[in-house]
Amino acid sequence: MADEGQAPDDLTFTHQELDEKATEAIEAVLASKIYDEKEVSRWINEICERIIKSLYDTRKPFKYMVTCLIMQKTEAGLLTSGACMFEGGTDMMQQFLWPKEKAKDQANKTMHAVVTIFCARF
Amino acid sequence: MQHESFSILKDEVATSVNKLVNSFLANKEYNQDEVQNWTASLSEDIVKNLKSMSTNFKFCVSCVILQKGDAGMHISTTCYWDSNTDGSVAIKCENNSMYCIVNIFGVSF
Repeated sequence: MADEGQAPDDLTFTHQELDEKATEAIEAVLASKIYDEKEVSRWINEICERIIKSLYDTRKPFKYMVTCLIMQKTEAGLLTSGACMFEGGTDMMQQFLWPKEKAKDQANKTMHAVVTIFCARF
Repeated sequence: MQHESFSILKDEVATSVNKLVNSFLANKEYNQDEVQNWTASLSEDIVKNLKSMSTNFKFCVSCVILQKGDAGMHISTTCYWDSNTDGSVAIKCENNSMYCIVNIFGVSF
């Protein structure tokens, strides 16, 4: 590959990098929408595909798994967790919640979204 | 033991994780204070279980517990991998007070 300065970036993803990709994709799809049972299945697919595409465009030697969950805001409780068995230095798994706490005012009032991104080096 | 492809492991993974999750949920009632510990320990137990099944796979387990109520919820997963060797399983279980959804991804290395 003819690009310059690739060595450290190529080895892994940072939390911030993944956060940006996840937030960008969710905002693009959900920004001013209201929870709509007929549309949600299309939104989750679109969010997943946007994130996978932006990960693929980094051209790093990784396999990716992205999970997106959208839940209507009601009184029900929801907990998610992730556990992995992978290679410590190079692989990453992160979960992101949207809307973030501090952005509560502008962000969507009718639903929660949780995105899990798992990157495995090959 | 080594496996060439996740599809060989898939049934074994599905059966054993179904059993694990159902026994975990069996006598529990949704409890806001406890749930965080439950999801974390369930994910970890599943990963340990998977680790004993195969030595040439990396695994990612994502566990969601949702209280039964009025809320609608949708989950989607998209993956970029080698479709000959890698794969995933989705497990859905429930009891009287909650749903539990587990997504397992296996990636060979």
